Amino acid sequence: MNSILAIAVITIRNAIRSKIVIVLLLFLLLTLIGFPLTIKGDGTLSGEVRLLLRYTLGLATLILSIATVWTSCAAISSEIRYRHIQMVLSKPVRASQIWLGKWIGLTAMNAILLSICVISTYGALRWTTQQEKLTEEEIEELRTEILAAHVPVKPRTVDLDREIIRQYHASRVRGDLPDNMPSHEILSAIERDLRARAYSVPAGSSNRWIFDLPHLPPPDRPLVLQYRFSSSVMDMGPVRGVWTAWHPESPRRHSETVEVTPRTLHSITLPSDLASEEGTLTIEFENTSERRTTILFNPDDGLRLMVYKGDFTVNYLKASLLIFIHLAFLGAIGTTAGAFFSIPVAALTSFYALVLLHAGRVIGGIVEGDMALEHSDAGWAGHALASATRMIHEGLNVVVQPVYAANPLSIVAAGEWIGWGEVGYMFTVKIVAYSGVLMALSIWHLSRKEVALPS
Amino acid sequence: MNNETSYGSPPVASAHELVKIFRDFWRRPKVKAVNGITFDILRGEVFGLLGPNGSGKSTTIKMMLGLLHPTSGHLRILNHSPRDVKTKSRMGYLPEESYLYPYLSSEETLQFFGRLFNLGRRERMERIDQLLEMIGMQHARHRVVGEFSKGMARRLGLAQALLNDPDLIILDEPTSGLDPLGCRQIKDLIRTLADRGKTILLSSHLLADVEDVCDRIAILYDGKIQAMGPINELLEQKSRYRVTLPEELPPDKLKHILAEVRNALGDEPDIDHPRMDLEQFFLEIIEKARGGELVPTGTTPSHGIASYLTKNAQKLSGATLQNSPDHPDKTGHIDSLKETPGSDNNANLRERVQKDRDDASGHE
Repeated sequence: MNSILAIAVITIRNAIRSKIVIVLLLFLLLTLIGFPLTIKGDGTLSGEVRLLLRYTLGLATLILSIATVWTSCAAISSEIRYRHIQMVLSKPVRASQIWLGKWIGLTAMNAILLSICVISTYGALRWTTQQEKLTEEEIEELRTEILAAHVPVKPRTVDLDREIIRQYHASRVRGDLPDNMPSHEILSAIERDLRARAYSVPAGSSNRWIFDLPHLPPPDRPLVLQYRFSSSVMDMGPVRGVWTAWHPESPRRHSETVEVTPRTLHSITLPSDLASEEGTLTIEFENTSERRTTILFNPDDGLRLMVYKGDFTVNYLKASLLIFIHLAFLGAIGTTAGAFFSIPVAALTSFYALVLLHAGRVIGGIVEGDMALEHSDAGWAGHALASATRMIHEGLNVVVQPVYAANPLSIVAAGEWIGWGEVGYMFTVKIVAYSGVLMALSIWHLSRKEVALPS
Repeated sequence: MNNETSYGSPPVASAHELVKIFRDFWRRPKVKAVNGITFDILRGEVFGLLGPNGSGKSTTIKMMLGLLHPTSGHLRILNHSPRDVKTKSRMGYLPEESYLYPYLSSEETLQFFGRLFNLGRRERMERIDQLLEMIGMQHARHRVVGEFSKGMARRLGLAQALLNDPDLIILDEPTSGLDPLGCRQIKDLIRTLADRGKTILLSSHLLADVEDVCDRIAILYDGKIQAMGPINELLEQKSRYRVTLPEELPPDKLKHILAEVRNALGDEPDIDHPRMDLEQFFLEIIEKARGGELVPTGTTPSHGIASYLTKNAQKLSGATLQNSPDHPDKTGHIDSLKETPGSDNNANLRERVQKDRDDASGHE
């Protein structure tokens, strides 16, 4: 342990004295102070807070991530290049102690720099939200929608399987099915159509959804319905409609008329005691637009009921922990790459790994949608190539999916709750499992590597 | 393979048919840096690896430290594999160039390596104090290594090599970059450490350095040992004789002796005046110029050895040292670097080496 700490301290000391930390701190402060002064938000207080969280702190985190990759790549690589490692490895030090010492040093440095960013952003946020010029309405909107942690609830999914089969058979009987179209593609087209109808509201009609709340919110914390839709008409003009919420056992109803533009996130607040004791709430939208405009809510995130779960500060802390875990993971990637390659090659390798990690959703989509390229017209070679391609995508998906996660700052800025379970999961996966594997790889390599080869 | 020396203890380092081939990117053999060398280094001796640049000295040393891996052959250090981590706690290494961290001060550098040796805080601080005093760099305690001259960095490198009180000290070109005064001090230190029970492997291409301090040498060329043995034996010209007459011999007596020699030989013998070597002459001049004190540039006066280094020597050899911890000198830390007249440690070691050499000659 003594050796690990000694190497960690040397890593920090070298970074400070070589002015890396000072320059990085300067860039971070410049971003934290300068960015909000130069960027104009949407004019609302909520927009300003979202900007502060998502973009200002997000940019600072991005700078920290790039710096982490670069410095971690240099951590062991420069030791080999400048031959300091010969002095270290001629002492009773194991390869694991070198890797851990370097990684702990970098992680400690990240902890300090990230804390500075997180605390200063929190201070700026508190200052922004406590100005005297703010109206009560603005403060209430902020308190309800952003400065709180909510659990997003999607509408209850309707079992479409029976309806899909029914429509398929009906079409077959009618002779509507194209001859050259495989049956699985027809079934999937019917499903897409039914799902779109479940989330669409033609002009002059209405559609309703049932939400099952995981818990009932406190009385002073209203429910927030967030919605985003697209319109069948391209002119992007406002759409008029009426939202109504109730539960069947109660005569109470809450209605609100809105006139809103497509493709923008909107929200309405609903009384917290509107749902049934079991947490069921029905919400209906009536499209009262005079123009013949059908609107379509995005089935994935076009309709979400936000239910209050906890305090913003704790949620912000959890988001910061997730960022810290990610930085530590980046440090592990860079330190490992630096144990194998020279600094530029290690940096390129690490950035490529980062791109793959951030493409987790795309890779997942390729695998789930079976979008891997087919080469059926190229005979057995085409089939072999297609199999290999599919295997590569599936392999990548297995590696990337566990560590793929949405940006925690976007989650906090959207007022969504981050569970301790998620923090624990990311710690286990990114630090214990993945960084552990990377460390094992580095130890295997370093204990076999000849560090004194003539250059 | 000789695993045990004549006096019963195993060699401190043992190489048998050691080969090192450097390969290119495609794993094709590029250079055969070490080509089947065999040697034993015995406890308490100063063993010199001598050879021109590229002869395989540094490669051999780096294999002994586990920094390079032999292509073939057998190598044991302190009866273990050179890659064994525990073995390294008993070794000290001064590399051919300063690979120290340029951003650290002298004290921080020694603190760092002390922690790598798992030395406790108090012990670490004591040793650092003693070592900095020994190398005459107490004044540069808080200066960063990047500002040091090569000589100062070399001294600090030597200090870190001695921090763990090692049984085997490997010094790769220890006097490189040092001025003559510094060279003399390092050579005195090497000899003193050897006299106090340490085993030292010295690599150099400076013949005078090797001749001054080594008990045995191996001369490497083209990766092979070309000659090996006790230095006196290798240099002795058995067919020639030198007669030394007492100083201040009266001229008539000298004439008489020369006449007798001439008469016996039937020929004129070669006669000249003995010369001191240039190093000795230089040191005398500088000593006079500085009023009797020899201090290399960038350092402060020091003619001592860190006392903890002598404690272990007692343990190893069982010999009594003049300035043992029970009888510290006036500083309480540093023992004299000068030869200790009361000790027969040096003579014992030389005898042991000689005995082992006689035994090993059959093996070689």
